Amino acid sequence: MSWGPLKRLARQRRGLIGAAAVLLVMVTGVLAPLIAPESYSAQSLLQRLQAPSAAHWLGTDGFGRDVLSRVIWGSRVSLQIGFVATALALVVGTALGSSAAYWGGAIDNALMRMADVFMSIPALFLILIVVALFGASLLNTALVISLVTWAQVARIVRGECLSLRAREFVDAAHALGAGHLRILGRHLLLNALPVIIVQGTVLLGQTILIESGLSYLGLGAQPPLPSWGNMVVEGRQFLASAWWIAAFPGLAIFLAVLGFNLFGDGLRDALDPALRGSS
Amino acid sequence: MIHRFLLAVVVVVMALSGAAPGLAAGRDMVIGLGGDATSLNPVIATDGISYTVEWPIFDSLLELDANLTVRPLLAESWEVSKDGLTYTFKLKKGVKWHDGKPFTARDVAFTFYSVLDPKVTTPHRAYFDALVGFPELTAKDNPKRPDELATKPIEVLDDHTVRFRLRYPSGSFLAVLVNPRAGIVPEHVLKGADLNTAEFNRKPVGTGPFKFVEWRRGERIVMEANEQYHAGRPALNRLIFRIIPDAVVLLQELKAGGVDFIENPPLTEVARLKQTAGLKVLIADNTSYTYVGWRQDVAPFNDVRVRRALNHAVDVPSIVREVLQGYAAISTGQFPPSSWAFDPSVKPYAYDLARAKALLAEAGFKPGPDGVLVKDGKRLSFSLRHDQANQSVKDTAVIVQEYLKRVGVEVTLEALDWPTFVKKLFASDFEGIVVGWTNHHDPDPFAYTIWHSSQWKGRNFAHYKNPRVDELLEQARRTAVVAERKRAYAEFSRVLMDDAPYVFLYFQQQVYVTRQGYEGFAPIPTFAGIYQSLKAVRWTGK
Amino acid sequence: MGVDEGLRGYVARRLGFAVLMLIGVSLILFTIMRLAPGGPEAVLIGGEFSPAAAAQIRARLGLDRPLAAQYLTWAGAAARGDLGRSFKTGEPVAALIRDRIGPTLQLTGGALALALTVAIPLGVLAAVRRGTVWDTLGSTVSLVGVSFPSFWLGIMLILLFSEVFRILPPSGLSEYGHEADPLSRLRHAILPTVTLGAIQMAALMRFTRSSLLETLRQDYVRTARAKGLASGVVIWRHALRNALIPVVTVVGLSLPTLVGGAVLTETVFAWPGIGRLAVGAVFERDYPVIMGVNLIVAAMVIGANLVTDVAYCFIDPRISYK
Repeated sequence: MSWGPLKRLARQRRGLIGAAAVLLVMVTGVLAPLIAPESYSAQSLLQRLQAPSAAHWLGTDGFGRDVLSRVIWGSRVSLQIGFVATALALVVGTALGSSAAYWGGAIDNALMRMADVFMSIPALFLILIVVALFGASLLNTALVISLVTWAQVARIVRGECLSLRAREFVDAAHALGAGHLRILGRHLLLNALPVIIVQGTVLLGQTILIESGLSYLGLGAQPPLPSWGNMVVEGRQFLASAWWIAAFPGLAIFLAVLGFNLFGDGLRDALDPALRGSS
Repeated sequence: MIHRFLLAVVVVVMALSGAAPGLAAGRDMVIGLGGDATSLNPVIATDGISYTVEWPIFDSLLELDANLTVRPLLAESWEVSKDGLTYTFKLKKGVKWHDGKPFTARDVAFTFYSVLDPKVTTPHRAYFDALVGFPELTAKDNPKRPDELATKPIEVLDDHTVRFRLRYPSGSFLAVLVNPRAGIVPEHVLKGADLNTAEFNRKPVGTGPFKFVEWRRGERIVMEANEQYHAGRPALNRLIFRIIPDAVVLLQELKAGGVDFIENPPLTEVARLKQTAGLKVLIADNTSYTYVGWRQDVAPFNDVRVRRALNHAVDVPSIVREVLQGYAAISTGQFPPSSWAFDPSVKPYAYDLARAKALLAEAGFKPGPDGVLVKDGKRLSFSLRHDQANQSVKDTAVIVQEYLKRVGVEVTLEALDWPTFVKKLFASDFEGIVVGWTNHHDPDPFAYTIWHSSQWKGRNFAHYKNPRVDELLEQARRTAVVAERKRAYAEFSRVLMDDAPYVFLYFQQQVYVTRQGYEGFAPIPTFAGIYQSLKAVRWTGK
Repeated sequence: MGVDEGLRGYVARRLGFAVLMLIGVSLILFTIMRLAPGGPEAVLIGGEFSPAAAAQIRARLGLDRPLAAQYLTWAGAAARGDLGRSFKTGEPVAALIRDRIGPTLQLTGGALALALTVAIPLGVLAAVRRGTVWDTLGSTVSLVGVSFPSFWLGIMLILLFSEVFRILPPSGLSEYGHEADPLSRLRHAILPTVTLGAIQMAALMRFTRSSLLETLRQDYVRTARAKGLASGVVIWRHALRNALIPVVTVVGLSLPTLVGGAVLTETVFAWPGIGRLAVGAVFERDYPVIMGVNLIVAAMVIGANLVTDVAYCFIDPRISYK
């Protein structure tokens, strides 16, 4: 891996802004227990629906809980679901996609047909079914999101690996006696890594959006655990009287996903020339 | 070029925003529902929305007045024998079904025999427990058929007279003969059909003030005035039930004019709605209550001190005031304040953190290292299960969790989807639950099935057992003398509060919002009672 | 000779795979649903639940038979076109879907049309005028568009156009009694279509732009330019056609997303389509309806992909159907 791509990334404003946003979300999520002023479930029924003030920077919600603390904890919940879902989708998708590209033929066919099957069920249908039937826990949500997203990862990785495989170095490696796994791991995957990383950032952003959609249907993170999605949904009925309850988590979703997309864009552009010429 | 484009946009927007002509202004009424009905057959329908929609289509023998006393509807008059075991009803003459055929006593007999038929999956069977032959007709193995009984519970004496025979003098028999659970269905349409799956359930035929027109699943249910209605044609032309799942959008439709009547808007909006010109708010008490319950036969809840402590730990008045905006009555037991069985001398447990902690200490609990109480090495920690789709129950659970935390009790919330939740409930597979009872305007049907120790496999899934309560419930059920029933229920309520099996939370009121100009609503204090008055609603255009 | 046979063989093979994929879809769903705890009996009985009634219902619905038998019965009937009956209401699933699919097709079709008509020209513009104001504007708008939860957009639109400016109705297909009135239908369709289409439009625009940019960079384009062909000709005849190929793929791939997104849009706008039918069926454990809807949708998606793949063969002569 060369430093070239990173240098290119640093030169673009977009990628930098995106990276900053991503970093902010991650730091907030990881350090949530330390930086949140209050517990996300500490209620005070007498302090319901208070506007942003010195005591509560982002106001309080319908149960008197501090909105700022809940937004901070919400990033943690988003990350929890996002990381598990993305990691799983990347691992499974990469493994299957690269195998399909490497071995080709019937294996390729079978794996890609399986990917097609998963891509022809509307994602939300499948997610809805699993979460509604098995319970709306963070783990279930993450698992089913990876179930619907591994296929798109597999396709992209396969595409990358196919173009890489066609090059001479694979045959050369074979000639030198390198085993399958070695070739797969060292040559193909290492060079496909940039694409995989880009996919990962896109997926993280997608997970946040999916979770908020599930919250709208009542199947997101369950109270009292705050997720940006369920905060927006809970806050809707107060839009006229206490707009801050829904507005701030909504803004958080928007900025976080925007950040992930910007970062992904920047990364893709930075890595693009590198993909063309390297060996 | 830009100018022309903008002009075009303006013209298009103006063309599209003209006021919609649409419905015969005011002679129809559009009612907003948050979900779709399941079935329009009163014998098998089980959910609130189905009850609401089928009410205008079907009549029952009796109906309720504002004091929840029965008055005639399809039954013109009735006689009760001295021993309270025989009820003879004289039915109204000249009543026709929506398809023109005459209504007779045979339809009444058919309806209630269907309710008793074990092959029909109906939730109302237990309400007719007092009928002669009930155990034989509803036996699990080898149930008898009505014609095999020596004494029949329901007899058709002539076209307009029907007789019911009871095996004990039940005081609640008349009360269970009202809608929505006792609508009469036509024998000539349903004889020989499987009521569970009949086409009738989607295309009902009744004797009610409104005739069924169409049911576009997930979208709307439409009915029109019954010109031949025996009590006179209703003033409204058509009822259109529109299904709009999003509660906020439903409210927006009300304000935009797409809907004329909604139930249970978000409570924080009610104050604003009361002041909105063109809308009016109707409020009625309700028989339904929400509670926090536990398995009574499992530690630590088998210790009455623990239960009383948990009662002292939850500030119910605060919940009612802050979360429900005052639109609820604090519950002191099984009966709402509007019920004749309610005894005002029974007081709820006061919000008293000190007392709660003292009781728990008395019960042997000491604070552990993390603040959670511990006894004999076991932490006072349990799960609180509830329906994940019910927002107000979810909110209540969150609040209760917080209150209990303050006395050192650790509660984990488990939101389950309804099918799983109900299964666990009736399998008694839970530690704590937050749920509600729809309840009945007569005290017996629910009081008996929830609190009698013979019902552990039924509604008494909390496994409550108190011999004195068993006695009192049986006394109250087997007499028709109101004074006696009242006495029994009063003592029952006192014993129950003493035992503190639940934290009885609140009876949430029914809140309805409708367009100014519709008059004639009678919001009676029973579940969905307002829909009984749809036949009297008229548009005055003011 | 060669083209015809090859094409027919290709289509036949793809159809075969399509059937296999449909079986795969139905098996996955069937397994998931039956593995889940709970079942429809609790929903059907409602609040007056009893284990005896539950057992009665399970027997009546055939849920106590072995799983393999249940699946085979369903699959066999489905192959004949009989999708069974709804557990909740008893009506035939095929009729239910037939009634509800119209509004969804209208919604997704409208959203796709909207997305394509806006996204492709704007994406081309952004790529061609790279680095200028148009590019930045287009890229920003589309970036913002894909960073939004779709239901949030719908809710905001209703707030804006129905509550603040009272010019459009909040929900529903049309006013009662005006089902055939095109103006009423149009008024009601605007907000849902824009909601569903906006995000799709943003995604397509991004993709068109990047796809076209990539094509423009390729050697043969530079060669064409070097040979002196006018810029416009280069773009329209060569680059665009090649850039559109992946766009067509992406459109095909976005169909499941559209139908899935329709679930949220249909719920917000009380739109009586199959998206809401599916959601309701999931909450009510109405297995035949869930299976039926998913089967039909998967068939539509697989069919659409097949059509686009075959269309490739005519668009790009370089592609062979091996």
